[in-house]
Amino acid sequence: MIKSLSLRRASMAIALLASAAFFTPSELSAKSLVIAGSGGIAQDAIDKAYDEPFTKDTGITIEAVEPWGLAKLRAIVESGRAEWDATELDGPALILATKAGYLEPIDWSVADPKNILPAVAKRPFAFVPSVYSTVMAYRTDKFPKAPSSWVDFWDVAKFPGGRALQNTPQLNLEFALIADGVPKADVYKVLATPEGIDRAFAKLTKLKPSIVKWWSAGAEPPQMLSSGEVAMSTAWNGRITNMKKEGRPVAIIWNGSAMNLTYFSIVKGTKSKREVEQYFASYLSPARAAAYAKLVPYPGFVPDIEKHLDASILVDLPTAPANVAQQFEMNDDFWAAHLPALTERWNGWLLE
Amino acid sequence: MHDISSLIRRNGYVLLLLPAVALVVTLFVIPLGGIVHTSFADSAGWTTSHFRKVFTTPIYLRIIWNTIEVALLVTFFCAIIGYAAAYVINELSGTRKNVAMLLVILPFWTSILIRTFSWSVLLGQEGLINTLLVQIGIIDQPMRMLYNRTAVTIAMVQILSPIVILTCVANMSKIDDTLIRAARLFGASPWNAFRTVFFPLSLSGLINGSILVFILCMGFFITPALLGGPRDLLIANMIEQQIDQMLNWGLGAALAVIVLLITLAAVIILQLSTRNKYLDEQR
Repeated sequence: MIKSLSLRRASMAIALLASAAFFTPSELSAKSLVIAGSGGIAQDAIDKAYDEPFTKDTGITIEAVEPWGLAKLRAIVESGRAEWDATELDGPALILATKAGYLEPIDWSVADPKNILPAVAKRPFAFVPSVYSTVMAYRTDKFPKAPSSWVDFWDVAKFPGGRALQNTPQLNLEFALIADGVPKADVYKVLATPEGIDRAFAKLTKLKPSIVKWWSAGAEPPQMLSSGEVAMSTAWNGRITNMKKEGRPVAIIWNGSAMNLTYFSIVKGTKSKREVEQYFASYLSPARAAAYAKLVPYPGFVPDIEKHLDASILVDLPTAPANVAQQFEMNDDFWAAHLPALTERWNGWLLE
Repeated sequence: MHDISSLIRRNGYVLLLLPAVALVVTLFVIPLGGIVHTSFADSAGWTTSHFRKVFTTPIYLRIIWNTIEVALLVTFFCAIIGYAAAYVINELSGTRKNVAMLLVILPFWTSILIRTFSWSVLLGQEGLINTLLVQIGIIDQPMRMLYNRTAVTIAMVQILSPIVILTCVANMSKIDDTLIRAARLFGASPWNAFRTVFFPLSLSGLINGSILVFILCMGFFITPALLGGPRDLLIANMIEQQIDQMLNWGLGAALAVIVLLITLAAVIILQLSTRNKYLDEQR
């Protein structure tokens, strides 16, 4: 008797477990959004500053997956599985994905009902939640006089030590032209011609012997700077701000650095388009945007966040007026059109 | 009479293979067919343009050659180091042997990413090895050991040599000791007994381990990306670039098919060229 009872109990427990496995939270609770992003410290900050308050307000839970990628996006749209509701994208990826028809247009009357965002942050197929910069960073203890421009980055006689650049033609061609004397406003005009591209590669060739590493992961530049492997490198601004917070002898040069926009887009075929738009709208709270910028220096274009932030934090933001004035914005259209051909040339050039 | 029931009765054990076959077909053969299909397709239909592109662009040929070079180099060092280590481990007994095996397996279970990053800590300009050498005065300037072919090779050998060790130990432990003792009794020197009796008998373990290492090398990705210089890009890095960044699945798939064919060819050549009469007798 006892035996059969416990057996029944056991089978009930198994049935319960099985049903729990079948009914995923999205079916039990009101709603759940799956959003693909980059992970890392930026994701931790998104969880705290945006996702937790959003779930508290709406009951909609956010499941962050990583990493986003064009290949996965293509597979999701083509198979019609609607595995992601929204995804992060970078500029060239946004253009490719829009052209390929992988994205849903955003209804801005839901995502920005009070129309407070500047035009740069609201595109037909994308919302700009944050901005980061690809900056020049250097070890402050390695040089008696601080470097201040891409000309100095190229000048290994005056500023000896290893260099590192990202393993992509993107932005490196721009930096090379600026180092070669092109004003930052004219960089894309020069790059539009074959001679301009040759000029950029020629300038890079001069620095090539001093390049210790063509980095690919964002964690590499801080690691190489702190281990002394390189004295100067390009890096994403947030990584260097973090190093400064840890007391490492590093500094950012905003002069000639590049602003990159991060995009959020709605994945074609999602059943939760409206909820994603509500989610985007939740980013427009200045208090939440400020909370996010305090955690990672990648702010968006929400007006009035400076009222919620200390001057010490504002100084390190890519969108601080003083920093904006010194930078240029990466031209996404140029790169969407030329990335494949220039990457092939880049790969070949690296092997030379 | 070959009626089915008697066939099943006699060869029924073959049915036990069905789950394995189903697994391989659904998870390997079908996706592989998809890759081959993608490599010959574009938006218009069938095409050989992806393969033509690979064979007419010097970069791709150069990188394929790089990959083969690194794979052969790493396999060579893994074979030597792995065989020697396995020989010593096989001579040990009891607890010592278990501890030695554990020391081989423990790093093998550690994530490749972590082991790769550990090497960048060890080999760096202000890393452990350079600091030590400078402090004891062997060198006065730190050496550049990272971001080149040497760093990639060292790390890949360390990551992959357990495979050779494990296959060789498994093989050596099955060799009958009395054969070597018999050779010694008949007057063979220790070296000759090893060379003519032990080594030929242990060769199949070495070859199998080396083939596994070679195959894994051909697809290595993280280590060359993190520890290598610009000339150490391997084909896997190139495939990732085409698939994920360029969205050029046709070219990525064509590169993947080429790697697969080269690997198959190399494995067959390796197996044929190292076949000898001792091995055939063993079979």
